[in-house]
Amino acid sequence: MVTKSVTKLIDEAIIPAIALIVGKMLGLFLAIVFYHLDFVIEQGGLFKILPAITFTSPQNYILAENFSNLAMLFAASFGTIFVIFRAHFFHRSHISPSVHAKLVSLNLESLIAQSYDLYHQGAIWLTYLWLVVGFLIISSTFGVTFPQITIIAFLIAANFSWIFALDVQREVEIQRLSKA
Amino acid sequence: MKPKHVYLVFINLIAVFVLLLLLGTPFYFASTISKPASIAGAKSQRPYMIISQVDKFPNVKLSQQEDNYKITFSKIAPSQAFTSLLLITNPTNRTQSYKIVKTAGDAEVFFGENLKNRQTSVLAPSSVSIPISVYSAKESSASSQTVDFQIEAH
Repeated sequence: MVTKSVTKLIDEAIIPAIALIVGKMLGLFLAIVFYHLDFVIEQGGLFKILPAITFTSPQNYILAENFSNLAMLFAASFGTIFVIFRAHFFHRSHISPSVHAKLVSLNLESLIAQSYDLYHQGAIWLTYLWLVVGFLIISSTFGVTFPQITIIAFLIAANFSWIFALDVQREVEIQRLSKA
Repeated sequence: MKPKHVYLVFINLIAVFVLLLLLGTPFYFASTISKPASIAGAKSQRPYMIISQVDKFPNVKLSQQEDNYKITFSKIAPSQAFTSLLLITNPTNRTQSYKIVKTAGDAEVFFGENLKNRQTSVLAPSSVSIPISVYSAKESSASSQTVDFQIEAH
């Protein structure tokens, strides 16, 4: 048997992976549409299966890369915010009774999540967020991504990690008190 | 170790590998989905990359033979300039110094677009593109003109 946690992590990693890929594609698409960038579609994309977009000038490439990296950062940040929001407000272990009652009345009880689900989701989204930061640092080092974007990404990842850690700390405290 | 335990270790390793693959896929995709253009024959390890924009100019032709570039154009005014005919890009990680060495022709080839400051050498930081322009003075009156040049990088 594969460890339950690993299976859960694989399960939780699929949607964020798709979100990041879609974010990157959407960013490229929007940059091409809004800035009327010239491009050529060639072979050699993902695993040599998908096509790659070749821009006719380095300036166009840098503009499109920055847009798409920003979109990828938004995708990772949005997913992480959603998990953090659920962990803080819709966490089964410490949801406020009034919010719980309201969700039940709105038939939105499915938003309430257990620690097991939330922490696996949080671990995956934060891993992706930090990997985005790493990707942007490498990209900035090569002079493609603007350093400002990388700095913003780092600040977002650091703050989200801290907010998520606060929830974990709170959960540990609840567990400790319930055992006492 | 029992065969069952070996099987468990193996299958868990596979699962971790699948997880790492899943984590890495979006970033592999992000790094391969787009790329800048390079002219045919240009090698990535070269100290510069030339992008041609001559198709935006009527009656201008660019030919390349190894490191020699030849621009042919028609003279339509006593003195004329074609700005940003080419773009030179520094694909390396460090600042490069480029110098235009003219080997034949009357027209001048220079970096930038400023006709009053026609520079034949320039410093290009990493990933920066600099336009290359051509100027033909009124003293050069032939109706069809050619200028040959090379670019030295240091």
